[in-house]
Amino acid sequence: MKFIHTSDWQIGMTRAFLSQEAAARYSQARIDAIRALGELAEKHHAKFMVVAGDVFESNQLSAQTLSRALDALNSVPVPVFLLPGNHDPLDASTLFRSKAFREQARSHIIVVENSEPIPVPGLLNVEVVGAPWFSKRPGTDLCAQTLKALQPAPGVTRILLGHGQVDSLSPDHSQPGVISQALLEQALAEGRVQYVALGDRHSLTNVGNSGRLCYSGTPLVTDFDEVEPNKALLVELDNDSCSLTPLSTGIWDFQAVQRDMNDPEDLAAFKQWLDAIRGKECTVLKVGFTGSVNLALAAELDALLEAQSHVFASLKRRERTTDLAVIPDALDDNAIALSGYADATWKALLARAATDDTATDALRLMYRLAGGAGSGAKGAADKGGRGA
Amino acid sequence: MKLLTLILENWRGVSASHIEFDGGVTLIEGPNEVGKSSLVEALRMLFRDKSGSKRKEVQAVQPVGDDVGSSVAAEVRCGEYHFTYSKTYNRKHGTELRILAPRAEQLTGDDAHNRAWDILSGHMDMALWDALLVEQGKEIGGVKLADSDGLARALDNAAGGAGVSGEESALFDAVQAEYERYFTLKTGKPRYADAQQRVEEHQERVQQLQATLRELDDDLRRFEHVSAEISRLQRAVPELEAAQKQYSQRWAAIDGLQSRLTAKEEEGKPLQDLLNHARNQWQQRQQAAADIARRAQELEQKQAALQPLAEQVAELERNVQVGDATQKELQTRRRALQQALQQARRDAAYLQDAAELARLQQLLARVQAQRGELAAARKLLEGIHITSAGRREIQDAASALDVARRTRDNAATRVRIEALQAVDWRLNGETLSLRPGETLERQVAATLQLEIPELARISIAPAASAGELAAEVDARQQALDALLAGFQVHSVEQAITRDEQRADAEQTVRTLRDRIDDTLQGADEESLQADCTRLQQACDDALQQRDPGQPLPASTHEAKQQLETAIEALDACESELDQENGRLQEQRAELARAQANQQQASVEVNALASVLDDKRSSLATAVEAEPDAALEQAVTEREQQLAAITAELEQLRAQLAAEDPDTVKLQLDNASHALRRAERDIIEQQQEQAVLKSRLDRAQANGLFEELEAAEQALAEAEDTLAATERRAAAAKLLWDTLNEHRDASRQAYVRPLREGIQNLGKIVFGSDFDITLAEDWTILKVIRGGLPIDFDALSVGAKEQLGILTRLAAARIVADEGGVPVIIDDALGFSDPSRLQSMGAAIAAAGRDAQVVVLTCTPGRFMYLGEVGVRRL
Repeated sequence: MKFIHTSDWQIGMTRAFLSQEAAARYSQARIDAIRALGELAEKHHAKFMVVAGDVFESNQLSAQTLSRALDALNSVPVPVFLLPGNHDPLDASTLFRSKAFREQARSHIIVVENSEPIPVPGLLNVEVVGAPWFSKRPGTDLCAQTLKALQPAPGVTRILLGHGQVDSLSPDHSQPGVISQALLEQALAEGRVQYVALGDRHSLTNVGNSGRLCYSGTPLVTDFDEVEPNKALLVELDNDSCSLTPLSTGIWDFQAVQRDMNDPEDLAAFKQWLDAIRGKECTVLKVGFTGSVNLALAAELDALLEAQSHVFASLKRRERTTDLAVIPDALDDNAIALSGYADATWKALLARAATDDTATDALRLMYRLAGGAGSGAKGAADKGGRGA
Repeated sequence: MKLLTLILENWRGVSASHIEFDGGVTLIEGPNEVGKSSLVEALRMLFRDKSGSKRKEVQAVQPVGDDVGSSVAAEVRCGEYHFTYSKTYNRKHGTELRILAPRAEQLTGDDAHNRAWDILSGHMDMALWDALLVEQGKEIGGVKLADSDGLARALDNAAGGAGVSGEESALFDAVQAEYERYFTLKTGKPRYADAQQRVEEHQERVQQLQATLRELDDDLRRFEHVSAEISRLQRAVPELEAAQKQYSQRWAAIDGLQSRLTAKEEEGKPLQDLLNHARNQWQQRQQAAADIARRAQELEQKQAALQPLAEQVAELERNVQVGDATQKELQTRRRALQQALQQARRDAAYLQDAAELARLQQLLARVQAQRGELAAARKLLEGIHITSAGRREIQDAASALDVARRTRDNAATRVRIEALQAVDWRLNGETLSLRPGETLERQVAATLQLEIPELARISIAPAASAGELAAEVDARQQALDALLAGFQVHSVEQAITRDEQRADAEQTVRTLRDRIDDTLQGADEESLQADCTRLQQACDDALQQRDPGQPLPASTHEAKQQLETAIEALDACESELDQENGRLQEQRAELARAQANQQQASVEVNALASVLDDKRSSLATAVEAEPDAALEQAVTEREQQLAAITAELEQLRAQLAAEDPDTVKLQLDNASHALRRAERDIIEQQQEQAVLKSRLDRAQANGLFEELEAAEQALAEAEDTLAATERRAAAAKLLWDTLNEHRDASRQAYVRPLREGIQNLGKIVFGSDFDITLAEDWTILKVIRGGLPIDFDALSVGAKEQLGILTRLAAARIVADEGGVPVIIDDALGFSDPSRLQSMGAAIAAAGRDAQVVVLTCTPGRFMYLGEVGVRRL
C-alpha cells in the first residue's frame, strides 16, 4: 500500500527578496507543486496523500489564492488528507471551514478536524489519525494527546499525521507544543500506528531509527537554510516493511554563497560559476564577498552583478557577510589621467577612503567619470580651439 | 603676437589707409568717420572670417555705391613666425598668406586661412584676443577672462601651479551632471524625495496591515479565551446549583423553628393581657385609697389656709377707710386755698385797675387843659381877618398912597407961614395957633382958605395940575381905606400887628394840637374816657365785693406775692391729694384681690370636700363588690401561668440561635447570586463570542496576509532602491563638494597674480590705497579704496570703464611672455575727467612696456598724457 507524505505547502507565501515578477512565478510554482504531487501519486500508484500541516501560509489568504489551490487540489486523483498546522490552525478564522473551501473542495479532500481515526476511502483497514492544531499556540503535545485517546484496532493500518518540532530536534524543549519523539516511537513499536507523517520542518528528515517517523520537507523551497527541500516522500507499507522513496517536486533553488574576491582571476571564476548555474530564472542567489579589490575590479564586479541580476530570479549581495575592501591602487591611478585640482580631489578622497565608505564610493564614481578601465563610461569630452 | 602694419582698401568709407604699429603703445588719432573703427573691424575679420564669407557683417564692409572688393592686409609677428596676411572680401575676394620667417612660404585661399588660423591660435589665446579687443560702443566695464585657457595657463605659471591639463573642465562637467542627477544645483536639495516618500508610504502600508492582522489575532485570542470561559462557566453552574439547594434546605428548617417560636409568642400574648388587667385592677384599688388619703390631707390644709385670708381682708378694709378720710380732708383744704387764690387774684386786678384809672384821669385832665388853650387861640384867630396876603396888599396900597402924596406935595404950591406974633389962624376952617417964630408950611393941593382972624382971608388956589395929583392921592387913599375896611383894620400898623398876632395864634394852635396828640399817644379820647368809666366801675365793684375786714394789699408788688403764695399752697395741696388718691386706689385694688383670694379658697375647699365625699363613697362601693384580697390573688395566678410560657420560648430561641440563621441566610443569598452571575456571564460571553465569530467570519478570505507579504516585499524593494540611491547620491555629493573645494582653491591661487596686476596699474590711476577683490571667474567683485569696499556694480560708468581697461592691460601683461595678445582700445575713456585721463595715460604707457597696446581716438586731447607712444594720424 503506497501513499505520498508531504507537508508545508505554505500556499500564499511570498518572499520579500523576490521582485514582483519572480514573486508571481514563485507563487504559481506552489500551486504547480500540488499538481506535480498529484501526477506523482498517479505515476507511483499511490493510493492517497497526506499533507502534514501548513497547507496554507496563513488563514488570511485571498479568495483567489484559495481558489487556485483548491482547483489544483481537486485535480489530484487520490484522496488527500489535510492537517491544520501552526500556520493554518483550526481556529475561529480557519480556512478549512470557510464557505469558499466548503463549496469548492471536492469530497476526496479530507480535512483532519479532530483526533478520531478516519478511514481512507476505497481502502480497507487503513485509517489516518491526525493531531490538528486548534490554535497557533498549543498548550500541549498534540500528538501525545491524540495517541492517548486512540482506541486500539488490531488489523488496521494507521498513519499518524502530526505537525510541529520533535523534542530531539527542537532547539527549545520547554515549548509546550513540542512533540515527544519517544512517545511516537513507542506507539510505532507497539504497533498502534504504522507510520508517523510529520510536518513543520521544511527539510526532508528521517527522525530516529524506526524508519517510520519522517518529516517530508516542503515540496517547494522557502528559505536558504533548508536541506533537501523540493521533496515529498513516497511511503510503501507492506506487512512489516516500510520503504521510503523521496520524490522531487520543485526546481526552485535558494542559495546563499560566500566568495573570495581579490584579483581578476577570482572575478573570472565567479563569472564562470554563475554561468554554470542552470535554471537561473528559478534561482535565488545571495552572495557575500570577502577580500580587497581595486577600483577597476570593483567596477567590473558591479557591472557583472548588475548584468546578471536581470537573469536570476534574485541576485543580491549579502550585505551582512560582505567584507570587500575597495582600495585604489597604482593601476587605478594609471588608468585615469588626472591633473590640477582634479588630481588634488582624487588624493583627498583617497586619504578619506580608508575610513569612509562614501569616500570610496566617490572615488569609484570619479574613476568612472574620468574614463577609468572597466567603467564603460565615455571619455572626457574634448574641447575645441585649445592650444597644445 | 605683435601687429606690425595694417593696410585697408575700399573698406566702408576708407578708400586707403596704412598704419604702422609700435611695439608698445600706438595712438591712432582721427576725426569721426575717418575709419578708426574700421581698422578694428578689419583686423577682427581678417583673423576670423574667410574671404568668401557671405555673412551680413562681411557684406556690410563694401563701400556704398562702389562695386569693388574691400581688402585688408596685416603684417604680423607671432612666435617664430613673421608673415603678411591679406584678404579681399566681397568683389574678387581672395586670401593670401606670405610667411617670411622662419621659412618662406606662400599660401592662398582656404589653405592660407587655415594656416594662418593654426599659427595664430597656436601662439595666441583667441578667447583672450576677443576679450582684449575693446570695440567702440561695446560695453567695456566687465570683462570675461575666465574662458581663456591662455590666461589660465599664464596665471597658473605665475601661481607656480602644477600645470593645467585642460581636462579638468570636462571632468568637472561630468561630475556636475552626476551631482545634478541627485541634487538640485542651486539649493542642493535631494531629487530622490519621491523614493523616500515611496519608502514611507510602504512603511505606512505595512504597519497598517500589521496592525489589522494584530487586531485579527487579538480577536482570535479573545475568541479562544471567551470560548474557554464559557465552558468553564457551564461546568461551574451545576456546582453552584447544588450549593444553593443545600442552603435552601437548611434555611427551610430554620424557617420551621421560627414559625413555632412565633406561635408560642402569640399564645403568651393574651395571658400577658390578663395579667396586666389583674395588675391594673389591684393597682387601681390601691391608688384609689391613696388618693382619698391625699385628698383629705389637702382639704385640711386648704381649710387651715382660709383664716389668714379673712384677717388680711379686714386689715385692708381698715386701711381703705383711713385713706378715704384723709382724702376728704385734703379736698376741703383745697377748696379753701382755691378761694384764697381767687381773692388774691381779684386784689391784684383791683390794684392794677386803680393804678390805670389814676393814670388815665391824669391824662384826660392834661388834655382838657390843652384843649382850653386851643380854644382860646382859636377864638383869637376868629377875631382876626387879615391874612398875610392881605397885609402885603395893604402895605402895597399904603406905599402907593405915600408915593402919590409925595408926588402931589412936590408938585403943589407951598405955603409957608411964619408967625410973627402969636396969632390964631384959621386954615380951611381949622384953627391953628402959632407962636412967634413958629412956622407952618402947607402945600396947596386944593384951594386953601387961610383966615387970619381979624386980619385977612386969604385964598390960595392951587394950580390946575395940582388937582389931578390930588385926585390920585385921593384914589389911593380910597383904595387903601377900602382894603383896611375889608380886613377890618383901621390902620396899616394895625394890619401888621393883627397879621403878626394871627401868625402867632396859628402857631399856638398847631403846637397845642401836637401836644394833645402826644398826650393821647394815638388813643382815642372818647375810648379813654370809656376806659376810665369802666375801670372806675370795676374798682367800685371790687371794693364793694371785698370783705371789708381784710386789709387790701399795700401795693401791687405785695398783691403779686400774695398771689404766688396762694398758688404754691394750692399746688402743694393738690399734689398731696393726688398722692393720696393713688395710694387709696392701690389699697382698694389690694383689698379686691384679697377678697377674691378668700372667695376662691373658700370655693376650693367646698369643691374638695364634695369630691372627697364622692370618692369615699365609690371606694366603699368597690370594696363591697370585690375585696382587696381577691384582687391580689388574681394577680399572683396570672403571673405563674406566664412564667411557664416564657420558659418554653427561651428554649425555642436557643434552638434557633444554634442553627445560625444569619450565616445560613448569607450563604443562601450568596449561592443564589453566584448562580445568577454565572448564568448571566454565560449569556454575556456567548454574546461576545457571537460578535467575535461574526467578525472573524468577515475577515475570512480577505487576503490580508498576502497583502501584508506584498506590501513588505514592495517596502523591501523601495528600501533597497532608496539605499542604493542614497549611497550613490552621497558619493556624488562628496565628489562634487571635494572637487569644488579644490577647484576653488586653485582658482584662488590663479586670482592672485591677476589681482596684483590690476592693483599695480590701478594704483597709478586711483592712488596707492587702491585694491580689489576678484571672483573665481576673475571678474572684479569689489573695489577697495581707503579700506572701504565698494561693489563693482555700484561704481560710476567712468570708473567701470577705467577698471575694464586696466583689467585688460593687466591680462595682456601677464600673457606677454607667452607671445602676448595686443590690447586694442577703440575710442574709450569718454567718461573720464582730465586728472583720470592723465593717470590712465600713465597706466597705459606702463602696460605698453610689456604688451602691445593700440589706442584709437577721435579726441587726441584724451590721450595727450600718453608719454611713450607712437602717434599715427588718419
